[in-house]
Amino acid sequence: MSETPINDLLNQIQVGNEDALIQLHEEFSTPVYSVAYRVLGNSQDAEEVTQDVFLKLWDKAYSFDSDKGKFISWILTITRRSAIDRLRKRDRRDPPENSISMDAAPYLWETKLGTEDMTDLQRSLLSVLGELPDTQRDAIYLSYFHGMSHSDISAHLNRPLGTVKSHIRLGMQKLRAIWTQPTTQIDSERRYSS
Amino acid sequence: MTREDLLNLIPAYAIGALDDDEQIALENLLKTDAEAQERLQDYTAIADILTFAVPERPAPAHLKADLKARLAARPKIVPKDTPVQNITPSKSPRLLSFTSVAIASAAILLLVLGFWFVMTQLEPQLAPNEGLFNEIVAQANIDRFAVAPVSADDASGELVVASGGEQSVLRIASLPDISEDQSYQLWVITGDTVQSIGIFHWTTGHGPYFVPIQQPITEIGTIAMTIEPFEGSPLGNEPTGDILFGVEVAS
Repeated sequence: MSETPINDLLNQIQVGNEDALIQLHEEFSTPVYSVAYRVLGNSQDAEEVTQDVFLKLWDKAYSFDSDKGKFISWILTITRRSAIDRLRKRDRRDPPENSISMDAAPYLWETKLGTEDMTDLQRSLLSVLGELPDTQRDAIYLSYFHGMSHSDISAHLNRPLGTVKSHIRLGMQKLRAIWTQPTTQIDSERRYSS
Repeated sequence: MTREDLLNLIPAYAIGALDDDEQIALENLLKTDAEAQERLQDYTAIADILTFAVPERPAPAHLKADLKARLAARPKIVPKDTPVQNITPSKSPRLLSFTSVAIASAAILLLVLGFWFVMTQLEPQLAPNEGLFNEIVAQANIDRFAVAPVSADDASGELVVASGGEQSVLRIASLPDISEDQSYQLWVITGDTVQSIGIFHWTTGHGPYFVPIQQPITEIGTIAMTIEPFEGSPLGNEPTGDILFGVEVAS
């Protein structure tokens, strides 16, 4: 779905059109549910977060600013944060078993982003993410998808704090090296519009 | 920490990996350091893309009907521009009997009373201390300090301080909800001293909430809030939860 119809639907939501929200739900419930499940590791909590995200959208559709990025990035960021909040309230921050490294070959979201929406740069970045040493990728995932701080990860993995900090820094620096490498004009323009 | 140490924390900051003390120190650098801001922009964009590294998992089919049911249970949003109904006067007025006048007068009296009742019900109900907040905002020469989200990304609000610094009220909204066995706890941090200034049992984090601050503004470095057990932090004047937001008063 292109951004223009999304903006139209968001405008419709602001004046109380429930069908507009249902349309967005049909289009984006799977990515939202996928991210929520990735964080929470069970379908019941993931369903709750998915519905909460769309009800937030119902209440606050006005807060999306298309100048700042794509709708899917925006709604998935809200989803991840909501899921992490739920994880914290559950008072069980340990990630589900086998969840840390299960994204060794990152999914590219082709069905939702389409070839025209995902730049080569973004594909390269996800590819490099899959090639990071497990220690670096695990530390990044534990923070990003489970809301863990350096100290939390150090305790969870039983690794020295300094080692955890290094793993995150080095992994992210490798991704930034891809991000900032010289590239085509088109990618340059789209770099910050993910 | 040196500037270089702080710059090295930016990748972790972008994915939310910093502990509170590191986060506060880095955010101070980010206020003024252009290179730090540029690096953060890169890492934030990268962090956004990490979301797409998630295996696709189809949403259960029943969620659509469930969402419709939840919407039906919520109040409708009414568009502001409701159609105006035209009322046309009668073309040929005629004399009225005493009875008709009496009935009409009674009806008008009922209408007036009804209108008064409805209007009093429609008057906006101010939240506790919202009036004091509005009074300060209406004054000249006030100071305002923004709520800066830390772990509560959506937290918003501001501290308004009346001229002279003797009265101040903190407005807070969009905090994460808490469970029944938890509380919000507000702290004043000045130098190395941390002091609890209130425990709040709000049923949701949505707000807005208005909290008068009793301490003279000159004695406040930073105001912060955490989520704690129902009775407050078990450590007394030391928070145990993540800092939800900060309001930096002392510059």
